[in-house]
Amino acid sequence: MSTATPPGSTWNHPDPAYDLIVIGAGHAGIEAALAGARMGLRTLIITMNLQSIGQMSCNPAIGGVGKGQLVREIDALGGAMGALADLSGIQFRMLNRSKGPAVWSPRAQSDKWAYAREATKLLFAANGLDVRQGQVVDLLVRAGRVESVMLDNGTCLRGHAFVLCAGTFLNGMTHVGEAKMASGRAGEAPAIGLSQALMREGVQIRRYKTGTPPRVDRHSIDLAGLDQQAGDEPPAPFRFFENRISLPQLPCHIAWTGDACHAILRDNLHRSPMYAGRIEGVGPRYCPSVEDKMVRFADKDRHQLFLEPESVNGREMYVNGFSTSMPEEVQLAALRTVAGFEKVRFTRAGYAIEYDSFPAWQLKPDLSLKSLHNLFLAGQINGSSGYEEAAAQGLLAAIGASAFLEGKDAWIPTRDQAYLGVLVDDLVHKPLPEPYRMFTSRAEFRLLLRQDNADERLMPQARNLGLLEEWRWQILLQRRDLRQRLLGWLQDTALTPRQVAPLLESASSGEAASSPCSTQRAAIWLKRPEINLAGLLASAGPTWALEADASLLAGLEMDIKYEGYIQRAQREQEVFRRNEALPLPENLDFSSVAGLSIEARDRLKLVQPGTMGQASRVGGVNPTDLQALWIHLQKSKVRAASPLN
Amino acid sequence: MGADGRDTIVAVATPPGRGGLSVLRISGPQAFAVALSRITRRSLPAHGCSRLVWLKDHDGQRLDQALLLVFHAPHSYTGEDVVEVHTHGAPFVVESVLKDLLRDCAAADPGEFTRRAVENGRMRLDQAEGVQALAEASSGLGHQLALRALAGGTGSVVEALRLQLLDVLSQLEADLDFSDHDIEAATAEALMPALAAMRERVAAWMASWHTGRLATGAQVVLVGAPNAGKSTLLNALAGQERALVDEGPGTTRDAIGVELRLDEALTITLWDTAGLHEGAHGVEKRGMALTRQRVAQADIILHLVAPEQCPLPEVAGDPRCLLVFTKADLGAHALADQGVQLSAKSGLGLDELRTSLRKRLLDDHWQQLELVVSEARHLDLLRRADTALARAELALTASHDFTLAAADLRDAAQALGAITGAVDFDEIYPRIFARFCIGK
Ligand SMILES: Cc1cc2nc3c(=O)[nH]c(=O)nc-3n(C[C@H](O)[C@H](O)[C@H](O)COP(=O)(O)OP(=O)(O)OC[C@H]3O[C@@H](n4cnc5c(N)ncnc54)[C@H](O)[C@@H]3O)c2cc1C
Ligand SMILES: Nc1nc2c(ncn2[C@@H]2O[C@H](COP(=O)(O)OP(=O)(O)OP(=O)(O)O)[C@@H](O)[C@H]2O)c(=O)[nH]1
Ligand SMILES: [Mg+2]
Repeated sequence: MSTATPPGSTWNHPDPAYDLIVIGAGHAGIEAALAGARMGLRTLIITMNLQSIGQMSCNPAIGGVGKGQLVREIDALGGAMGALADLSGIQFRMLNRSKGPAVWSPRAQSDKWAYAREATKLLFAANGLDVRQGQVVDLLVRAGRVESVMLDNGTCLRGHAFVLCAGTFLNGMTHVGEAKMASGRAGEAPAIGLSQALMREGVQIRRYKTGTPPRVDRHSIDLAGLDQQAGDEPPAPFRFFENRISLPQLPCHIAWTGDACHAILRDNLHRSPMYAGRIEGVGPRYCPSVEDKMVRFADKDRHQLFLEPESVNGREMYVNGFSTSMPEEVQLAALRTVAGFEKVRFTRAGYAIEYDSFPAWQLKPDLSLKSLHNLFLAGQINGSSGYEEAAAQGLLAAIGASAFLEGKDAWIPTRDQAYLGVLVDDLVHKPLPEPYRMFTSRAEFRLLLRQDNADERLMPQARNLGLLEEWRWQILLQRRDLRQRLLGWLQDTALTPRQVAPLLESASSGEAASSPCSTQRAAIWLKRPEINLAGLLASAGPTWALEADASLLAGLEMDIKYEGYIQRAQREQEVFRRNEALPLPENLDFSSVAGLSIEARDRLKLVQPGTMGQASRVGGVNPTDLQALWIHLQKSKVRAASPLN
Repeated sequence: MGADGRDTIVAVATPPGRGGLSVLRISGPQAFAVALSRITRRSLPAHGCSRLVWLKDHDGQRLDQALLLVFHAPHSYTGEDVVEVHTHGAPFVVESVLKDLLRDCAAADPGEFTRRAVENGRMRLDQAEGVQALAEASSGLGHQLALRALAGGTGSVVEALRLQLLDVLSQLEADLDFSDHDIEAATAEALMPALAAMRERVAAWMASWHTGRLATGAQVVLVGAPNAGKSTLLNALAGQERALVDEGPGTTRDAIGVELRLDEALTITLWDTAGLHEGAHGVEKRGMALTRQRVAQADIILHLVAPEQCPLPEVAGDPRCLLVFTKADLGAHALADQGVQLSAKSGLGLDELRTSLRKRLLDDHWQQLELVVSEARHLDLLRRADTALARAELALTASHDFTLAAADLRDAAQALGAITGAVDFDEIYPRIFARFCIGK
């Protein structure tokens, strides 16, 4: 591999040092830079191309199951993603509406140009934030710290802390059929040099891959013949306490692949860079390419495709479900067999990309490198995938960097507090066999971590960190108060069966007769499946309850209806916290712990978890290993306490 | 402390007292070094082999002639290097050897050998419980159930169900996390049969406790009016004079328990008690209180009725009650066909009583059950799993909330996992291992 340092360049620094330098203005970098500046750090963000700030490399959508929760949390913590998604949103849907409230997940289609434009505006408007174009090609490291970065033109910039958010660009290599190109994203150059600089410092690298479908010309599709899917009416914003949705709302369209399409793909499998062995990087199982689907789900006779608009007025559309790196002619031939796509023209072909990422066990939970204390890594380079996962890490990295600069311990969200906590903990401690994306099932405290209560869970912390606007804090306080009063009303007000009868009757069964005939408190009535809080308040509630909006009601209702579950979850939370609070000595030599399985020993040595709880999650560590660890700790405690030693 | 941080431990594995042989067990990284330093030879026998040696103490004084058995890690009981020392059985000899070995080894905590076996992955928790049960086995039933547990039967049956449960759980989770993907939606209707089948199995296991609890012996209580012949029957069944018999009523005041083998499968503790009657006071009244305590804990109540007596309503209605008409040699009882008629004096009917007892206590079909729960801890966990499964059914059918059902299934899976040891380490381990005796 070549280095990208310009010939004859030397490390000289004309300008004073920044507090924080963020490298890369993708979804992680944007949050890192804005949060850094808001926390009062003199911040610089450097990115390869100022025209592609906040670009959506793949799907023109924000949120989804698990991811939507992340966006709500980012917003509650003072991040930008929620507002950007609202400002650019052209279709909003609450996914999983028919499932439990714990998994209700907001998702929005974005006008991707509007998203990038709003992101760019935000960066240039932020106080204390400088923005500049350039490719970082090298790092100057002294005494375990990065001192400065060098750009491709030889310019050097000094900083006290750095957040690297280079996305898919590090030694990026795109594949379309047999064609292979060094590139960080279609049409953009790769970033060369940085990976080597980090490898020089002993950082380990792994190749991951991901792919994207073709973009098609709206005018070449027979949209009228396709089923439509509209968004929710009215659309619910991501951002707490403020609705900035303003773009026209558009439908998506649904199409289906069939036998003819599958036959073409199957006949050409040998031309797929994945199957021909030209790609070595590991891709995500949960996001298979369409050729993967042919192999792994061979018995399925059709696959669903979503046709999503990429902008309000533009002609480009995204073919969700057709991610591929087949030769363009194969992509085209296969897609033209799909009803509605007979005359389809591409604006861009689908492709796969391989890139460098850094296994995240090399990081501390504040996302700084264990070996380079003032360098924080965030986003795709940590082995995650997705805009939301990247943005979440960018925000947390900035929080970590700010604490580092103040010489304090960083606030690190915990698994029982936020999806953000699950995300960092998983990344840093668990083995990651494939690019990581968030799922709700990764959160063992899912019933507690809902999108509707992210404000309550995280805004107090955001305020402590200096990340929350004062007016939003005031609203949170008002809502808390209203919630409290509603709870009081529910617990204190007795309702007769007659008062709730209309609610029972309107429930489908019509078996109101089976209802108990005694007067009960409102909170007890609410526990019946057929009664909901909005209905209860509408028929028997106080007038002041009208102040409460749907999301406040949904949260309160969940807390009451599922009290038993919430309490059980809280008990588990206590056990969890006990183990989280059991620290492991900083330099614990796991080889000296008897009774550990070899696999556990290796994983523990690699990851060096800081607490018993973290140790339980590093992978390959089972209860007997934990028991051995626990006994070891008890014995060392006894030894330490003994006066003879 | 050995190189890898773990002590080498030693304990006497055979029961205290004078016997033909005693076995000391040494386990840990220094086991071989310690053994070598106590014998005149330069080497130990190979893995799995034994050798007769002269045992010296630390200072070279001969202690005993002993048999050494050697096991190399990880192919030993504990998974560590193990040396077994078979000495002559005199307590003085055994104590001297132990005392000497304790100069280089630590004394094993109660159950530590087995705990190490679990920690080193040589056995699961349920198997360790089997070891304990085997050591305590006092009946054919207990013996067989312990063998099943030790062989891993309990654990693998439970684990199989846990995996099934995780299977259903993963269907639910897939439906929650990938609802925006083109996957077949999970429906309550489709999941319910699987859940119902699992609940049925758990229920059957819980019901097997009826049998399993007898592994440690059944409690059988003799109850009746004074002079019904309770003490006489106890003596007859025990085959020796254990309780005083007298013509006058109110002879027995204390509850007297005698352990006896009913047959090759069952051991019972038979309790003689003070006779129940109206108008008792003082020490007699206190005796009757003791009787009622025993009755409360009984698996079977044998209600003795002499020819001139009537059944006591207080006990006759209890489902655990078996009516026994005594003193058959003096004449038939009007209600004789409602129970067993016998004469403790002549021995007539005693075999019939044994057979009835055995039938009431133990259904011979237990051999065919896939799982017989004989640990109270397992029963508790099965109850937790059962309640969680019931809640899951409700969540699926009444509140239609998959997230709740998923939480319940997790809870159930955790409960089942706890049986085999896949659970929070700091909660159950100490309790279980405190039950183990040194050296086992
Ligand atoms: C082809 C493709 C397919 C994808 N498919 C999926 C998918 O299926 N599912 C999914 O969840 N996600 C997918 N993604 C990933 C998604 O785009 C990323 O997860 C997300 O954008 C990551 O955000 P980020 O901030 O880490 O990096 P990016 O959004 O990639 O941003 C990186 C930024 O850093 C800049 N940069 C990089 N190196 C340097 C340097 N040396 N100096 C200065 N600036 C630099 C770049 O110019 C860019 O602005 C795909 C991405 C691509 C390219
Ligand atoms: N003929 C005959 N006499 C019996 C038989 N069993 C007991 N007896 C007599 O009945 C009397 C009372 O017997 P116990 O065994 O002391 O009766 P008990 O029920 O223990 O009486 P309390 O201890 O006083 O409650 C004694 O005199 C026994 O010898 C029997 O089978 N046949
Ligand atoms: Mg008596």
